[in-house]
Amino acid sequence: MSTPDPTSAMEQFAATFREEAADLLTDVETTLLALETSPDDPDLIARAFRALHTIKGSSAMFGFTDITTFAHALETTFDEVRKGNIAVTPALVSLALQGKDLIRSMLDGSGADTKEACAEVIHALREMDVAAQPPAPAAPRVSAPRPPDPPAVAKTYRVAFQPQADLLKDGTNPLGLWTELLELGSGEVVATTDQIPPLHDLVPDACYVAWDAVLTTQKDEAALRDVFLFVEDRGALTITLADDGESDTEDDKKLGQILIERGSIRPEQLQAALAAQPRLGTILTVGGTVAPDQVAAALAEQRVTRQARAERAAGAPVDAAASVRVAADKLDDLVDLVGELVIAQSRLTQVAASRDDLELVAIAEDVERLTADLRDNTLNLRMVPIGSTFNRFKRLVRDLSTELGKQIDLVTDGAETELDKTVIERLGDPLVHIIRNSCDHGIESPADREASGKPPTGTVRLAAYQSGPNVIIEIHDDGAGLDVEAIREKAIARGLMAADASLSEGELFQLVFLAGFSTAKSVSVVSGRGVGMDVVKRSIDALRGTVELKSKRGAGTTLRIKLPLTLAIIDGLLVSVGTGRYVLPMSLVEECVEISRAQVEEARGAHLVPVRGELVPYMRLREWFHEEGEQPLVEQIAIASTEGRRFGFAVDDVIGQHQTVIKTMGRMYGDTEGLAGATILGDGTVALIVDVAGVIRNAIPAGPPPS
Amino acid sequence: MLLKLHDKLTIASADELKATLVAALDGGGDILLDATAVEQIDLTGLQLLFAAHKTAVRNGKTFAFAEGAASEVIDLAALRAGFARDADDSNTSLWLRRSHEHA
Repeated sequence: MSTPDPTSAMEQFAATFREEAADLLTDVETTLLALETSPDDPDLIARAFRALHTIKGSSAMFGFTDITTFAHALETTFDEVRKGNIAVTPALVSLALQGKDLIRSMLDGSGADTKEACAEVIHALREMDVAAQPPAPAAPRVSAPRPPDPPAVAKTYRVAFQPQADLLKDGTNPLGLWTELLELGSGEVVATTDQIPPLHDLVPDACYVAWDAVLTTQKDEAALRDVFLFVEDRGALTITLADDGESDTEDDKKLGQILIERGSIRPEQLQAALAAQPRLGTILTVGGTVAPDQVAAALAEQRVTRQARAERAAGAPVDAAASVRVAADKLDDLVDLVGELVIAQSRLTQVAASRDDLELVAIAEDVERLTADLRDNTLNLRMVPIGSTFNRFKRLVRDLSTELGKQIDLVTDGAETELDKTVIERLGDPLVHIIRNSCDHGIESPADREASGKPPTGTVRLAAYQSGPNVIIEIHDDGAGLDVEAIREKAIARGLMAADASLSEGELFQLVFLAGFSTAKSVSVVSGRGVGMDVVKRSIDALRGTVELKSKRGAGTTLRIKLPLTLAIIDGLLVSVGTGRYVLPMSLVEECVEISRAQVEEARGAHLVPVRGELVPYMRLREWFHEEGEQPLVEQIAIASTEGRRFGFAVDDVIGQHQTVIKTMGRMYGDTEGLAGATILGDGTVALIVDVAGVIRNAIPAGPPPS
Repeated sequence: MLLKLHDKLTIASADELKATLVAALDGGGDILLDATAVEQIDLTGLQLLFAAHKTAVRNGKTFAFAEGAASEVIDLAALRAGFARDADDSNTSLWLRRSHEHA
């Protein structure tokens, strides 16, 4: 290993910090949005506070002083919230969300003029603080920057807290402290209760209790100390290491040893007690050497330590999730390699089949099985739950409803549904657009809604679920729905359909996805905001997905997006045209039919093929790709179905189903019309993957559908 | 006597709880608690119950939850606050740690 370069090491830490901070900010956002619905939830408040606190600490360590200062201001406000001095209001949540966005742009280094915006937010926060209570005496607390958590070894700590008697008077809840502490790991709390006086002498709001806790945790001492951040100066806190997590074979510490280490007794007292007999705890207690509470605390320590050691010995995961962060491009490389392996393996299978060697065939079969497993596992690594993007939409809907003066709830379902990372990333923008549409044009104003007998609050429902090899995403709003008549008029005016043509509702709705169909006034669901539904459609096409629209006037609109689980490998239909090999995505192909030379001549140049009584338009891939060679007497036509209509591709021969590892083509071919990529076949030749939707779009230039 | 506890045993009503307990203890008999209505308890409540128990036991009286009238809220708070104890020989604790739940 080479000597680490201090600069690059620092940069690496900073990069880690950015990643972690980004996660924390997402957490802050989720928490804030949740707080809006349940503003009194102390867990949520504590969570927001902790996240902000951590951002502050680690940003200080990596020299992001702007962030530190700003996060400190936010943290201070949430401290007040935590103490109950400031109530959680929508205004506070808005402000905090704004603050969160500012921190994000500071992290990205994208916002040049964050300074002014920060100052504004800080000012607004201060006003809130002042409005809530007289100036707090506490000087800004600068907490020591906390180093990133060391590799997780669970250690056992003793935490002792002896509060002042007036701890409870300002509403501090020590029970909450211990609950919070125990959340950091596993452990036990023992209260020293011998200072509680007889009932008649007891002052109800005085604190008579001191605590000893034993905690096994992967967190460091600073994290433990943070729990007591606000009571640190209200009592004596000591945290000591009881078990360093190194040993798991050593015998349990004897109760006596623990008592001595804890300073509860002196060694000679122990010796004297040991001279007598039965249970040490009982003897020491009865003998008056040690208070029962101290023995109880020591026993708790013995239990917790013993358990922690047992878990280490058993190799059981202690608390925290065992996960590893990996750069996305490393995963992409891995998927590429696996793709190559799949190709090499299919060549091996082919070669093995052509030789009369049973041993080789057996090996090839093994390799095939292993490769399939490897492929599935690798693709699984790239799967992430779609829920991470849902949060973003919660925020979007919230902002939009304020902006538009509407009341809109976003309900999400199936956040755990997993999709390929790339798909999720590229799905973001279309979904934003769709949801924007639903809020803007779908959901009516509260007054309109009440007038039509609906609850004033509209609902946008975002649901994801898996269905076979696809993931379905549905965006439903209970708004006004599409105006079918308006679409029809618009379509006739634009010459997209004859005035007397009778199109089904489904066919009419498909028109919404045509480029340029969107003018804001004509149809409620089509946005006037630049990007039209055609762009949404195109993005989904690029993901090899399909969009379907359903709507009922007055009852709402549902958009249904169907996406493949992964982009890396598809099931393809391998066909041949002349000397070329082509792959059509199996998900789009409905059936294959034959057409003879005689039938072609009968149609007199019209490219239409009868399929069970229906005429389906088709085109020859031979012509599209300028393949040489003679057209066979009998052609095969693969009928694809997309955008609600059927379209055929005439090819020379259908070879069969093919597990297609998709290779993107170089930049030079990026714009080639009608190609979605390429793949390498078992024999090493290249086959091109046909962009079915793209070809159809070009073959039928936005004309009326066949009627 | 059977003593019915209110829904909130918190600092806001600590004086009231103390008065109730003092009156009950001064009555001189055994006290059984009905805690079924308790929804919330904080450290002040725990301290008061603890002190009352201690005082009653010292006077040779019973101070305990009536059969079937204990409260999960109180049990949980006592556990979190570290008030729960293993049963010892004298068996005097108001809150007994569920034996060997960590074993």
